[in-house]
Amino acid sequence: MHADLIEAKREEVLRLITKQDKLLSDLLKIPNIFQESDEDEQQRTDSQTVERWQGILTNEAQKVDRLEMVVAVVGSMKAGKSTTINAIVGLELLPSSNRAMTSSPTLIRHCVDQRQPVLSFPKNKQMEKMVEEIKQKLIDLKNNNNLNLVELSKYQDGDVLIQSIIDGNFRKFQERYEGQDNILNCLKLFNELIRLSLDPNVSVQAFINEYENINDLPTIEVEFLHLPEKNEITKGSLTLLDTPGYNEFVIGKKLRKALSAQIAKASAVLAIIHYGQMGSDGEGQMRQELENQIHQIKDTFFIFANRFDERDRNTMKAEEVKSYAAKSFMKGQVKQECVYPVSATYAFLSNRAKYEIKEKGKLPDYRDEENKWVEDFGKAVFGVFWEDKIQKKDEVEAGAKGLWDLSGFKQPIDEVVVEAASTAALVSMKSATNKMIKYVNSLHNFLESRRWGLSQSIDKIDQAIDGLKQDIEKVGQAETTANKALQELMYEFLNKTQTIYKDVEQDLRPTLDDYFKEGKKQEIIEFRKQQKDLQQALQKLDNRGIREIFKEREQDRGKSRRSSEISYIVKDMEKDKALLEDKESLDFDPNNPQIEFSSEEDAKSFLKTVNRSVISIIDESVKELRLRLLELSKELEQKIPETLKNKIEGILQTAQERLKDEGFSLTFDLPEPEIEQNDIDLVELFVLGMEKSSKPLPSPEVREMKAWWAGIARFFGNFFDLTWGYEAYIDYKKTDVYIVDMKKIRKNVIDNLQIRIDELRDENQDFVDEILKPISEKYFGALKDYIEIIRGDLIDSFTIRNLDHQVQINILKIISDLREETELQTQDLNLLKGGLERK
Amino acid sequence: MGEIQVTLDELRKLHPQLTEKAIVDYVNGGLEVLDDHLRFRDQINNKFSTRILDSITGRTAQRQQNMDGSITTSLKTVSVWLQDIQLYQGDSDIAIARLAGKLKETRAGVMRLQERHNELAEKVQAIAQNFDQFESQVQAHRIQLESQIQQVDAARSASLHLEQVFDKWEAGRLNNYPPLARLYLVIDELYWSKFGTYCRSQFGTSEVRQLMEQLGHKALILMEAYSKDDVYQLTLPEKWLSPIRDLPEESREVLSYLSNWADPQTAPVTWAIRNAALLESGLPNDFPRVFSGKHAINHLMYENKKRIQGNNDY
Repeated sequence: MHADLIEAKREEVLRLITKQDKLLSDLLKIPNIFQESDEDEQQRTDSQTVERWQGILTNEAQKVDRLEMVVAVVGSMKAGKSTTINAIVGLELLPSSNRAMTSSPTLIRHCVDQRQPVLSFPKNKQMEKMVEEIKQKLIDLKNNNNLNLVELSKYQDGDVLIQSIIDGNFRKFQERYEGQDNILNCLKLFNELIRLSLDPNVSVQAFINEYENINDLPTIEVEFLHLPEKNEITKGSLTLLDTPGYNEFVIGKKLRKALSAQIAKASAVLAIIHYGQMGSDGEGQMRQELENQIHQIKDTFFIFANRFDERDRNTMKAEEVKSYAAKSFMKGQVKQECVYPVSATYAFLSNRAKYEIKEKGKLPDYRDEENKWVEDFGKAVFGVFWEDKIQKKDEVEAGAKGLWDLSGFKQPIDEVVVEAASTAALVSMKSATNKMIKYVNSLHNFLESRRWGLSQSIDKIDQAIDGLKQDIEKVGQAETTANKALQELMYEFLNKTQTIYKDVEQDLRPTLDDYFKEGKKQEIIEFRKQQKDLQQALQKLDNRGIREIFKEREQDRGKSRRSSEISYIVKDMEKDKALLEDKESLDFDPNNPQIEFSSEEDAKSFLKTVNRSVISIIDESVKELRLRLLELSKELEQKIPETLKNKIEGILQTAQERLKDEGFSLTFDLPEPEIEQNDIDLVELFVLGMEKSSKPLPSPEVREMKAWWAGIARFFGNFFDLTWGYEAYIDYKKTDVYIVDMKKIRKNVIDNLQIRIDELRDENQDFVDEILKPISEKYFGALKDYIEIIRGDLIDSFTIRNLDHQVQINILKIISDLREETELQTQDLNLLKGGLERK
Repeated sequence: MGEIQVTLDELRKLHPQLTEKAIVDYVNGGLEVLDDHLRFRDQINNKFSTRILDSITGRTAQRQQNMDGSITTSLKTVSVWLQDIQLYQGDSDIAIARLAGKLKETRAGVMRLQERHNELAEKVQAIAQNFDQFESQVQAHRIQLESQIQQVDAARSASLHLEQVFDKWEAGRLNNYPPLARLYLVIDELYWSKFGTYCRSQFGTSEVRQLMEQLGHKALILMEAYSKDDVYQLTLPEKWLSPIRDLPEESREVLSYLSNWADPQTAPVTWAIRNAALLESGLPNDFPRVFSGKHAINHLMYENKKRIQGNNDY
């Protein structure tokens, strides 16, 4: 029933498009009704405008008729995203290995009858430049004997790649690859190159940073082996979007934004998680990664708890998996029935085998290196006696079917497709309906302008034309106030983000205090020890004489620095015993911010501990900050339309009423500002900031963080530096003392935080200028045009009034008929719109 | 009187427009005077309308039989025809206008007939007298109607009539019909009555627009009150049409008869109602693919407006 209704709505959209198209064609046929824009600058509804509407409607009809479904596949590292996609396609197209593999997003599109997969590789030329740069870096490293620092060199195939680049044997990327093996190899190379470019020792600007939208991504077209035989599929197009795990996100700002927008508006989202990690220590991270990728949960969110084939007696059962995952992932917003325990490996093996049987009638030779999967298949299906059985076609077919059932893929794939289709249908229907409403409204206003313009006195028309001009001016004034309001709104939000910084500060202070106490503790222990040593020395001095002790110490020399210090002291004591006794009376000062270490190692290790803690607090805060910013972004996204609309609602209403009193009944639809999902991304504001600063990565710890986090942490800046508050000097008594000054550290950390907060204010202005202003400009601009067109249409009526009287009467008659139809259309469209929104 | 007769009387009472329409059909489609004979076009060869007509006249006439027989029989038929239509007591502008036109036309035909058949002179004279009498009655009726329309409170009385019709719905007297049919019947009744007469004569004025709006509001209120779903809830059209197929035959006959003016292009929703009443399936291209109470109101009102505007079709 539900699917029927969606189909009916689709048909209704198409019916209304046809109707509207006919209405516009009828309008175009009316002689003399249009003035054409060639001669003057006046804005108006002319025949070209109407034809443009028709063109757009045709386009919309195609989109509604042809469902474009995009299913985003997301998940944590190594959860099996690529295997899942390979399983659905039935071929090994995407590299999957024990190393985290996917670093570039890829599109895989289902194309009926496309048996041989084809990969198109846009931007392949830019690759070459990057390879050349990598080559230079690698040669430098090799000359300095540092090639082994490159991580990829630790793997055999990685090493081969590096050598081939150095030797200049690396083949160029093509625009197009055909066949499973070629595609797999190409993508493997592509991914390894990206990894190479990111290696800190190579560090070349990855060209993927320049990708702007998802059409720039490598795209594979192939007929998927397993798709339900459903109407939705034969009619529409289904594309899987393979996304990198969050930690593997190494792409540029624009693509990242495009990608997260794409995920947000995907027809369905398939989140792959590692079944084995559920309930384990790794789960927290897995969950976090997922939440970082997905900001909003819709009905079309599915979780595949992959590797369910690895379960045993002690692990969770299917039902437990469902309820557990629903409860613990995505803040408990996923419905239990949308969680599926599956085995992507089984599904892959099954479909891979089916593909071979279908294409070649048998399985390939398992002894060949590239056909290792045959052995996996054999063992999974037939157990230890697999070798004989895989020769038999019937048994293989039956086995593949059994394995498919066991994989648990069938039901969820069916449901994902159905859900994706209905979401995709909804998206295209909403878009078409909104366009039609816009045009029918413009059409109504045009017809009404003509009717009124032909039936009123010249004076009245002149007045109305002037009135509309004033309305346009008012809109202009409203724009200024709206921009101010946006600015204020932004400050308000900024203040909220400041509290997050304050929280960070508050977290940092006690931590630093704790370390100070800890340091002082170390200092006092050392101090007491020294005191004790001194006392012993004094005693010995009294008992046995200085020389004897000195001899004793000489034997121990080199064992530890501390003993040699003591020997220095003993030497001193020899010289001046009185001074020695004086030193014994020195006191420990617990409030002195300086912590003294007598060993450099101790001091530095203390510093490192402090450093690590500060960074971990920052790291936690960054995560927290990001989530809070996302929430704020959503809030802001909602408030912007209110702010903008608020300013013009009154203007439009007054105008509408004023004209209605004159018998001129225009419909001023309060337009909605066009804000794309994810347009308002405050996180972006911070990224903006961090990409501007060219500060070097501050510490090895930060450098170890994965790309994106590192970026954010970099934005926070040089939070902690090992030289802050650290001094080493030789004591006047030639004793080395290493001092860590906690006061200085604290000041530096907190000061730096404050600097960042201050800088944020400047970035805020950029955000307003780059993101908010264009939205408001577009909005008010469109609104002014809207009124200006009505004004233009009214002005044109003077020309039409010069026509023959009978012509005018004819025009009025046709207008009256068209108006009735327009009204019915408007009613149908509004009802449909309401129905689409209610779902 | 048989059982059916009783039922038809009841039906005519429940749906006064049945009487109006049957008369108009009879007047319109029935008698044709040719140069040397009379005949009935079989356009009104509709059993249901014949039965309605019988229930109006109170007799089972053999109107279609032997029409091409002897001239004498033909003249007798004209006289019966005249008697039949004289029984009409309604005040629909459509019926009156048709009657006036047809009387004139038929009278002229009968007179021509007399020229060729001298032997009929006496009989023709008698009929002609009858015609004269009736024509002047109709004319008087027509003038009265027109003056009614011109009166200042005409809009108010149209509105009052609107209230009456809706009261009937509200009182549950149409409850045997499913919502779409109910709405159609109400709008159709209004079309044939004072409300329709007023709207036709004053079409395009703000008074008529207001009356139409009033009709829309009332329909919305009753639709909301009497349907299980929200009036804006989109469903498949079939959900609205299939209950019409489940109606008893008599009710379906009423519906299909009253809606037989519709064609699929200009009145697709009415056409679909008729189609369902005739137990046929299929939707016209212009029928909305998703439907709701509000759709029913909007479209039937639009079709009604077109019908009023068209005026020539009835």
